[in-house]
Amino acid sequence: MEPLLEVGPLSCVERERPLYHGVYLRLFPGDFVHLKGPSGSGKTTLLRQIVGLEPSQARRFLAGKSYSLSQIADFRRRCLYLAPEAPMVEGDLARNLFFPFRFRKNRTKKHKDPEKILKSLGLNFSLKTRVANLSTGERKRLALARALIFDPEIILADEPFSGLDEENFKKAFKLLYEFSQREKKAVLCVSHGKLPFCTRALTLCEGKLKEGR
Amino acid sequence: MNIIALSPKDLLIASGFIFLAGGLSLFLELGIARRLLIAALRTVIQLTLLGFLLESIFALKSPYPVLLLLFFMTLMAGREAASRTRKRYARILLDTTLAMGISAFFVGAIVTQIVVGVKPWYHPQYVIPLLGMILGNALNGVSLALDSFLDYLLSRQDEIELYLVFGAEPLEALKAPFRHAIRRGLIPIINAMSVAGIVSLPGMMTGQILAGTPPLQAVAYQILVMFMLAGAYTFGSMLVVFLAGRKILGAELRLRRELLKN
Repeated sequence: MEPLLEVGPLSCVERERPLYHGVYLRLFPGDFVHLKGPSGSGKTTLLRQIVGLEPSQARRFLAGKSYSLSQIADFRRRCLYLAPEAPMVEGDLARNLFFPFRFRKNRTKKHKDPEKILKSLGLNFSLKTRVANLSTGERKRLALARALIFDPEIILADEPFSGLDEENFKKAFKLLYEFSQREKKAVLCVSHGKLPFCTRALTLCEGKLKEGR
Repeated sequence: MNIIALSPKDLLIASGFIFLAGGLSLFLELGIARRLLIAALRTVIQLTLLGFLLESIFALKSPYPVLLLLFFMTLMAGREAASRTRKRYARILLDTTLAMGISAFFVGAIVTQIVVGVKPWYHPQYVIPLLGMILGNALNGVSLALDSFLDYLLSRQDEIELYLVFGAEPLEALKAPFRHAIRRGLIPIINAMSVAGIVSLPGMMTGQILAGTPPLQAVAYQILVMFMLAGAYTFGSMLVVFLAGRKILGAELRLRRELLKN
């Protein structure tokens, strides 16, 4: 089977100490990969390098198509990075959910039904609610909702469930997992906690990316 | 026109103010007597040198010394603008100097060649003071805009990266910091235009009136200068933040933190 995403080689040196070296990442359609690794092993940096927020020498392929550095914006809109801080822009829910569709490259893109996604994440707010009034857990779920509404092919989620209570964790996990099972989609999920299930597990430790736990 | 010429004796009497201030500083132990004296000396020396320089440039009647002086002024202004920002990035000097140079020469060319219609085109009596005013003010706009731009970028990195990961292009990702910075850069000239003639008598107009120009003519020049400065502020702030944004995002479209330093 052809990989949906293929990125590498990724290497990172931090404070003159090599974190990892020559790592390749492949995601296949239907993958829901749990990425683990001790704190400080470079999981976040790895994800940020994949989408080009950190420098690297990596080559990027999406469904066999190569993306050069000058096409990085196109790559990012197909392979979305979900930051652990769940950053928001000032304003209301609507602005936060729909600002990506105002970018030139996304203008023709159709978005998923926001009401349905917000509801299944337990976010029963009006779209006019200001995000400044939301709690950390609510922002976390809102960031996930934004990614799902944007509907990329791949979501690289960095600790998307941290700070969620049991019930909301279940809802959020179910939604993200269901996303990965749709046609030509995949998810890579960094999480310290246990996940109810995953199609594969990868561990970043001792400078290598290893299959399994 | 009858100008009352100032003699060295008159200036000597005026220097009494400096000695008075210095004496008071010593008496009250303010500790700035020395700095005051040095600053006063610098004023005398720098301005005298400039006076001689201008006299000789005026006498030469050639465009080259005029252009050379303008070039030197631009370099100094670029350096000053870069040194005024609290945060810096690699090769900031190039961007500030370019922004100052392009905006000042663009606005300066329109004002001296089209509005005032200076003949010959390099007439130093007009070109040097006008360009000097433009540079001095654009410097303000450039450094303010750049300072708030860098401040925004560094304090709200999450927001910029959020835009980037959703496929924003440079102008889309930097729209908010651009607007924030250019607005900040334009505030001084908007304030100056609002209070001109009420709270403050602009220096150039005062100077012209002292030199015997009829007040209305001096006012006309001052209005021209205000508009010209508004132009310089606008172009200068816009240009510098665009150049800075281009460099900081780079072709890789990411916040290149390694370029930024406090």
